[in-house]
Amino acid sequence: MAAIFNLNHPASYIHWLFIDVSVSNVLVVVVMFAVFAAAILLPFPHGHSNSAKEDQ
Amino acid sequence: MMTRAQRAAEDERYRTWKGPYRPYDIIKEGTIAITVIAILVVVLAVFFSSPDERAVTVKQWARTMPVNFLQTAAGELDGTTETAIYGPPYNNYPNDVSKDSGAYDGLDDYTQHLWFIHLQAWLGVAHPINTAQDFVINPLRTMPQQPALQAAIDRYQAAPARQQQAWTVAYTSALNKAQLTASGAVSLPSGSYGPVSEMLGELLTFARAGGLDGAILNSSQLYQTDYTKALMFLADGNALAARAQAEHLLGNQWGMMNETGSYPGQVWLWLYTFWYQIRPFSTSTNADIDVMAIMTVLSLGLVLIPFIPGIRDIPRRIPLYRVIWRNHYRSLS
Repeated sequence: MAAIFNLNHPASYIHWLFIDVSVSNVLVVVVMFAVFAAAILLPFPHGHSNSAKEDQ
Repeated sequence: MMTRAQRAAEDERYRTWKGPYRPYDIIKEGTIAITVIAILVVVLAVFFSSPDERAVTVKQWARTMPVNFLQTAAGELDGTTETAIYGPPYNNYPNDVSKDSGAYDGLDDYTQHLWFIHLQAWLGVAHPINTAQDFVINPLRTMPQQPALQAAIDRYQAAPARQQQAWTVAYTSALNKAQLTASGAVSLPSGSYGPVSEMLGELLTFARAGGLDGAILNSSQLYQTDYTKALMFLADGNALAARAQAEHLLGNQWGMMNETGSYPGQVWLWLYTFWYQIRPFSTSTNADIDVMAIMTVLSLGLVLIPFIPGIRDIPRRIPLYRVIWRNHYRSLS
């Protein structure tokens, strides 16, 4: 069965000096940083007041 | 900036927790995490599928690059290919004289080593490969009802080493002038190739028919799981390297962290493959063991972060934890 997005084709690469990274790898790194930032910045679940009370 | 005394007081204050406790269900959180990841895997598989490259075979190589196949086979026969001179774990390199210290120490210059650590030599020949026997002579011996071919092999094996080398050298030189006929056959100018021309001509025919792929893998096991020999034979030629280069998988292309096609690869291996891109590692014959040593030191550094002055103080200097627990610290102020 064919995939909805076919990735079995030659990749694009970003070259900078001796660094050579595929665009898909760069996207994964960007997503990892985004998840890391979200994990720090998003509030804990159960609401603001509840967690503040429990933390004390 | 906290003083040492303040820091000690803070550590002492948190040694025994006197505040309230809250319930925490780790089973529930683990179940949710596994469920979310499982759903994510299924959804991503539906949308993007997975890498689906066709296997590189000796048959394909012999059909698309017959001259290179013959050059490689001749090299396997006279023991000049990369596999033939690799050393452990495949064989002992014949020139077993070290020039490191100027004195013989039983270890050749072609095994990777670092200072007194000769890992490659210490582990020995664990997976023996005799390139002439395993890649040429033994597969040809499996071809039935070919008396002329078997006589050619007998003649080759009975000849002195110097004569064998003269035949393969003449044959390899002639391959530079080889021409492909309309039928795909390789035509060579006449020369003193002895039985080598017939042997390798038959090997090419065998490979093109797909027989050599199985003959190289021939073993006593019911299920074949060891593809080392076929891979080494392919790696001695140009077919595998050409495919790897096209897919950005070579060591000097940061290939360790790449995947075939446009799929993301093993990004977390960036630091391992990074060292292979810069000097002296990019040109060193000891690159593997050098990189292994560097990564061992760095990994030890990671494990020992709590004991390294300066590094262990980073959370105090950059208090990111105060952003995570901002409600708590806001309530304190």
